[in-house]
Amino acid sequence: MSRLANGGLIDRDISRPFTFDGQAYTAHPGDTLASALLAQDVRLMGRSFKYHRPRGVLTAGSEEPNALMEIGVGAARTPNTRATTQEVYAGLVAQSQNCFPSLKTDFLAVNDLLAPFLGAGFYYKTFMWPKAFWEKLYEPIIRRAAGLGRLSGEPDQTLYQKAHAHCDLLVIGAGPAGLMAASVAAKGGAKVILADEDFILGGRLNSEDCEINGQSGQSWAAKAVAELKDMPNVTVMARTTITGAYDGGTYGALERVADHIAQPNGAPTQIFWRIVTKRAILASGAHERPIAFPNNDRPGIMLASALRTYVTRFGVTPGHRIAVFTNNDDGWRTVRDLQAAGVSVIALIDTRPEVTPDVDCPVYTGAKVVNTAGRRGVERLSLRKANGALQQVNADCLAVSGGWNPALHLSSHMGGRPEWRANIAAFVPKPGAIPNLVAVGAANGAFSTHAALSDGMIAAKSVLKDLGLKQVRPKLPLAEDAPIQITPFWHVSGEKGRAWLDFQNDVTVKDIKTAHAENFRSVEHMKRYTTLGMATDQGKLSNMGALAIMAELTGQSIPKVGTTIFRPPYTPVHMGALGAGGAGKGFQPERFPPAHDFMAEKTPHMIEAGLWYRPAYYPQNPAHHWRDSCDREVNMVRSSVGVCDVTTLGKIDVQGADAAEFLDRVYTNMISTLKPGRVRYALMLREDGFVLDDGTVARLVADHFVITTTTGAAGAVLSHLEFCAQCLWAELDVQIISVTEQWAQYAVAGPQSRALLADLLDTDISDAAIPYMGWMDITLGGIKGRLFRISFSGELAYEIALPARFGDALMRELDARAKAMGGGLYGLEALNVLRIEKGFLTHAEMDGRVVAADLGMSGMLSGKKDFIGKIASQRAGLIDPMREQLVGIRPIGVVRQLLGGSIMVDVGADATRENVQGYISSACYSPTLGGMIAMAFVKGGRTRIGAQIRAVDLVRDLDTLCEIVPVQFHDPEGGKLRG
Amino acid sequence: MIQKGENCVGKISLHARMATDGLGLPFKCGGLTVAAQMPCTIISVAPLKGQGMAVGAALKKTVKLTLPTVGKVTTHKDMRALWGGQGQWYILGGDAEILGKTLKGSAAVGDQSDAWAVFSLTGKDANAVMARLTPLDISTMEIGQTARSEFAHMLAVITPIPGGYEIMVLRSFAKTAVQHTIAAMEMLSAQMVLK
Repeated sequence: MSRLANGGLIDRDISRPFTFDGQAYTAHPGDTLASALLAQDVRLMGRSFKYHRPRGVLTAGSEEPNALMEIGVGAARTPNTRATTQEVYAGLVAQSQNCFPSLKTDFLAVNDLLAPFLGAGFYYKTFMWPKAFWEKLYEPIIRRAAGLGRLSGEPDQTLYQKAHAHCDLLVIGAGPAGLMAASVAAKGGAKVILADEDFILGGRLNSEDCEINGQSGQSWAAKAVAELKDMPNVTVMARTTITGAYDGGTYGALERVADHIAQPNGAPTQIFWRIVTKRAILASGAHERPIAFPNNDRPGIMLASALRTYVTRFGVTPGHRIAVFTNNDDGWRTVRDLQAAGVSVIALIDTRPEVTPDVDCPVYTGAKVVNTAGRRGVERLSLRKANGALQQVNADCLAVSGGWNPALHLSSHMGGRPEWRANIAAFVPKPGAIPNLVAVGAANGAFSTHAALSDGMIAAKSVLKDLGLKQVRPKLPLAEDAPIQITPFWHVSGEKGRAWLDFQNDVTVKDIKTAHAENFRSVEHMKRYTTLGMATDQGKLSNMGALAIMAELTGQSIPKVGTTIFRPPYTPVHMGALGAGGAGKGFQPERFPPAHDFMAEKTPHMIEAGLWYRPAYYPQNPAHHWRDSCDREVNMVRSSVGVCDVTTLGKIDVQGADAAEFLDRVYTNMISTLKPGRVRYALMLREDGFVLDDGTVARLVADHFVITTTTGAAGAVLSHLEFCAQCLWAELDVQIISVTEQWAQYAVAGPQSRALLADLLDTDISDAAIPYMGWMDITLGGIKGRLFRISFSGELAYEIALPARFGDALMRELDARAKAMGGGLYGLEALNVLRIEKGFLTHAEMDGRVVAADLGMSGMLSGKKDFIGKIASQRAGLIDPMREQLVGIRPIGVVRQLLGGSIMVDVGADATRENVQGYISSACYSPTLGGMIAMAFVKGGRTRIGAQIRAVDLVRDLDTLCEIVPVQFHDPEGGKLRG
Repeated sequence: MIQKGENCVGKISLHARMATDGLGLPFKCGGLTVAAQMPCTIISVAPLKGQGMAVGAALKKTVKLTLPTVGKVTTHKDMRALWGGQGQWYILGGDAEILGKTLKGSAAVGDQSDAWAVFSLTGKDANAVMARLTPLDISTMEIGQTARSEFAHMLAVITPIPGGYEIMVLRSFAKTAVQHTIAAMEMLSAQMVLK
């Protein structure tokens, strides 16, 4: 066991069982999966991406590139989880990934032997020929051999949620700088959100042996957090990563609510927050950076700061004979902290020849580690001393410190490039890169605790001043203020062996050299050529080293070489969290008409249209084919009477002295001449001349109209009208409002429709009282409504409208009465057949690519007035007589089937793109005509009536010889609908 | 006058089914309640060109109701006027015929009583539930304010009321809106247990 006898923010009284690769282990509350495994001497935790080299933990945080695991089983299995951030709950199941058959014996480690052939860019060169092999052979093999964790392949059952938060100040990171900033701002009355990705707040204070105001860092942090939690104007969000910075002071945040709990019992596992803040303070700390040296990737080699975290925060020592390799004073601190915890340190190797480390262990200054050995973990080191001599050190753990990089990622999410600061040999955030965000503490290159506290305080006071809030005079706590002492040292050169830069994507120093040799010298090119920084850790640890090496190779300074900018998210986010609430029925709202429950009793077959759920057909025998129901319903309408819910069609109320003028301008045909009591079919174009929608216009009184739209275009038409009224013609006296939801409306269609309604309404609805394309007020059961004489079926038909609350009752009544007359309900399938038989349009025809002439509706383009789209619709390309025009199609050969979407091809021509003459927009079996019919767009179609053509469906392998016919198949004279 | 309830005139009787009927309301969970709050009427009022002042004066005189400014609500007895968008208001609880006569020629008046589903969300954690359903900064809204915004990806009118919020969504969305609200209440309640 490597658990130290004392120390750590863990509860040693409780043990939680878990498994890793089937082996049972235990953890304490406060442990991460990584700390628990290290405590039980597990060093090998993963295999590398490309070469399948054995790897252990490198860090103790979210920047971890190596210890990635699959957590959970079945659908709940989550790949690529960082063991360094995963808390352990009782029963947790962890599995290693990217290895076969096991972590210890991975056959794919053969890749490591093939490394000379698999260097950077190898797949760009090696797999170029034959071309077809890439997709079918090479890529699948490469993906199988090089990879991360596996998805379960099952639907994700995890509960995700999204939420919104608003505040005056968002503090990102709860280390000393963040805690100080949040505290000062909160005392000034600001509404503060303090977010930190860790489950114990305090940042490095929990990992270092340090003091603030005479208390331990851990105690000070705990007390500060407790005080903040007690303040009503502060929201403390632990386990919450700020993932991205966006426009308008908006930040994305992922709260891991129950990733650490075995049974969330209905709680969301993760919540994706959108936080809108007036100001933000970036106190995200810094990442220690590794030094590249040969074989620097063995388990047991980790960052010095991580080692201190495991010892101080978790009470675990990852080794018993520890060596430290450093280019800065943090290496010395590591030695002292380890020794204070009772851990043996056998060597301090400092690359700086001029320093005199104040530590009590063997010291090698001006030295460097040049190799490591050990099969599944480091067992010994080779170091080259200042005098050039080699020395072996039998260390089982090596702590490496190459300096610190501010965790500035969020500051570049809106395109800001970081700036170079020479004294810390690191990039810092560019001021103003994110509006109203200021970086403080280590995130801004101020690495001492004193500087962090001071920075946080100053930034918070500035926020209070900016926002006009109360100024406070906090006392700055006392803390260490050691200046950083570092001599940049990026990699060990002149030694044999691969030195790893990007541990997650297996990129070495040599790969950068190759990129340079092949002239991929721009940072962006180098990154893509080598894949450096492109793994899930997004190069948090590797980017700087690569830049430094490229700088060496090109003879430039690091800032001259440039830097890549970081994009959201800061750490990986589950797709489920980003799309929270959007799975299943959450994808979009469901709209139900007033009589939905009644209709749902009659049929389970619904079609979604414009979010509305509408019956497709009403089966009388569930065993029958849907066509049986559809044919029956069509015949019913043609022979007796049918009832169909048309509530979903858009209804827009247009009022005002200029209402008629307004409608003249938005419709192609004349509306102002329409008399009260009458209805007119009307066509609406877009500004570009293409058809937007069709519908009816009913004039209630002189200055009051109700227009209808198609179901799917209701919203678009209302927006269009609002735009016209508010922006184009603000001078017109017109008011527009949707009344779609106010009215329940039902089509009553068929030869018996008049009889049914006359009896129901007890009113004269003869042709004289309400002619075709007329409307009248009605009263039914004391309820005022409207009756329209309009038809979408080609039969004598009406639409009856009552306030929506009576829709259910009305439809039940209509159904009962229709049944008594040999009719009944009909659904969308029958409605579609009826309108195709009649040649009426839907958005299958008005698909946004057609003009009125294509539809044979040039006559509706009034020459007496201007209207939206008029000029554009007369463009040469849109009046070409050889454009695809709407016609009817019926089969005349042996094959009698027609399918929507089929292409039209001349007889004898090949069914190829260049021979396409048009396409079928709508097709159906017509029980009225006893065969299949279709509406199609055919080049010059109206001049080809009577000609033969083929309908070809290459996907469904159908080739039907057809005749082009007029689009009105049924009752072309319109005698039936006129009654 | 708006017609409600069972209507039986002549030979036919029509049963009224309100937008929130059949949705299992009221529903309680973890100290939160979602309940139907259907007003007897909802009348849309949009002053015609140049008639804004006249409409305001007429309403003030006839029904003692002031037209609120943008994002505001005014109240008189059982009637409320909600700002409803550009040049548009909703009057809840008014008599359509009286309003129609009062505003004839000066405003586009429409009966929208059946067009909206109205329900309330009340309870100590109502703000936390709302945070999961709307992007509005709900904590800054006070009684007397209203906003048109998104509610569980539906358009809505959101109005603070004592102890919580009143939410208006279009009638056809009622079931989805209530389902989302209940789901958010249940998830929050389960989350509170974790803490």
